[in-house]
Amino acid sequence: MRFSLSDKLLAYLLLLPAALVLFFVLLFPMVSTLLTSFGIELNNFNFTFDNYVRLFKDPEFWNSFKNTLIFVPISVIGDLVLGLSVALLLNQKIKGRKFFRVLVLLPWMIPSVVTGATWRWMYNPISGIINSILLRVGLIEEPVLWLSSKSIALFSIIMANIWRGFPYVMLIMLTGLQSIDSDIYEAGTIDGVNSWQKFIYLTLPNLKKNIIVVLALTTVWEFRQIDLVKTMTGGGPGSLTEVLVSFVFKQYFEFFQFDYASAIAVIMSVLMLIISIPYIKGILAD
Amino acid sequence: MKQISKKVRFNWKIVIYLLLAVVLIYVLFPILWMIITSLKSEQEALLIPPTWFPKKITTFGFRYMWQMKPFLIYFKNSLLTAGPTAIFSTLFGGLAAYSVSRFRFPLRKFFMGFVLCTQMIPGVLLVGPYFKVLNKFQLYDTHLALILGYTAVALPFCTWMLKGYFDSIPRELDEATLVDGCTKFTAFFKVILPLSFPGIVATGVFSFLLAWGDLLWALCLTSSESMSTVTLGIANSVGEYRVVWPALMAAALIACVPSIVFYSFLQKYIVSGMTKGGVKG
Repeated sequence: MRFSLSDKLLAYLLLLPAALVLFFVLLFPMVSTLLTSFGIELNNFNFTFDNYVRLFKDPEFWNSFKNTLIFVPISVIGDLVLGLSVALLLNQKIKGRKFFRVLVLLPWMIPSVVTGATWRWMYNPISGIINSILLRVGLIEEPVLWLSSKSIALFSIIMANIWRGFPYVMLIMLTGLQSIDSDIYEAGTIDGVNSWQKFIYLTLPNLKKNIIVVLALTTVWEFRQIDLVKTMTGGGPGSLTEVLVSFVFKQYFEFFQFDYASAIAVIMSVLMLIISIPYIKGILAD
Repeated sequence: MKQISKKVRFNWKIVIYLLLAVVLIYVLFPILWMIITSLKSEQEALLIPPTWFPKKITTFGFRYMWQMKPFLIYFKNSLLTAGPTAIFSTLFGGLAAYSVSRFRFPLRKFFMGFVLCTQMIPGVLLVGPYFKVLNKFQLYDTHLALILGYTAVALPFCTWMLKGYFDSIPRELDEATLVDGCTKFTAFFKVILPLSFPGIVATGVFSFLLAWGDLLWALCLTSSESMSTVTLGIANSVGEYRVVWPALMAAALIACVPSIVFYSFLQKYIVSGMTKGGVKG
């Protein structure tokens, strides 16, 4: 079938609404942020690197950068290890597998603000359930300040974050596991390979694609999520649990440092784009 | 020999069920604790040590939450932003997906690649300048501002997912209707739409839930109580000096209901689309 010119026109017309929305809400703000970070405004054209220089000298920026470098990798690894383990568990022949799968997905389904509020309540040092259990079992002798003591506050948020994030990884891994041909395992059994070797040499290589996708996606998600930090500690106490996202938010909407906040946001986006390149390439190649 | 192998396998089963029990406790405990707390009185929720089950089950939380904060307005706002978001993002995404799936034109690949890349950009990079644009058009603190924002965030997912659905419908089918003298539009409504209906519903529901669960955009783009969404209401309440936990947990529980109901039904549609669209979070 040959397409006439009007067909081409129709094709572009169909794209128009989506393109307009993406332009106004995504593309324009993106470009605008980039320009603002270099001091360029509509009526004010003085190019400068000041915001980036300031950023490199700002201990608050490095603090949130460091926290992000703790928060993101530990969350991602936690998601991956727990998600893969539970997927292997749910891939066994057990009764009510579908039902269990939906139950395990619950933390991922509920709004993350709810997760933040609930965990904050469980972490409550005085009447929270976590301290109460640990005290009774005898693992701790006095109440732990989960969300305000220096050495653990960030890790307490990470714990809640893994609870929220791992079910999605589990779901993707389970789809991957179920698409593996069971013949290769049978061949392995005949050759006298044990379960651990089967996992390393047969299962993992077959999951490689799923693992790459999940790694890229969860890294990007954890990088930009603000909900848990916002609801559990608000970045505090002080700036103890501040991550890059919450730092940008504060600079923009609380201190109104538009150009400085833009510079941080640009640095963040560059980091994220670098991380997601393999993923984007993989999908476009499909 | 046969007997031994049977015995070994039997033990494996017990280990698996034990591990599964541990996982389920970990997964379900916070949700159960939310439910248990919501059924306690304010005094009982603050008891030290906390009681495992409410001594007296009360609906105090579910009654008090509406007085504590105007949650009725919050829920209304969440519905009024998430609903139109679902419609717009599915409609716009569907049109774009149809264009890319059924026409050949030079910008086709570029458009899909661009759409995918936008998904990698953090929301904080966008809300700032978007906020300025809204101020200029006096759209700050309106439903429309949130709807447009969420639509843009959900669009890439909708476009990629619906393109997948449209691609799976053989072109011969719509070409057959064209031969019958129908236009492209009737082909769309007669062939494509009915065949990809489950995908369209799944896409719409997904966009709805994305808007329903969002905090960042609501936080940055609304300022008045009368525009606040449920998630924003919960996030604001949790940081206050006096938190009435049973009421807050009751509100949280109600906020979970649409998410849990819809996701449970639609998980199988959403998984495949999510890995491509790369949204949520």
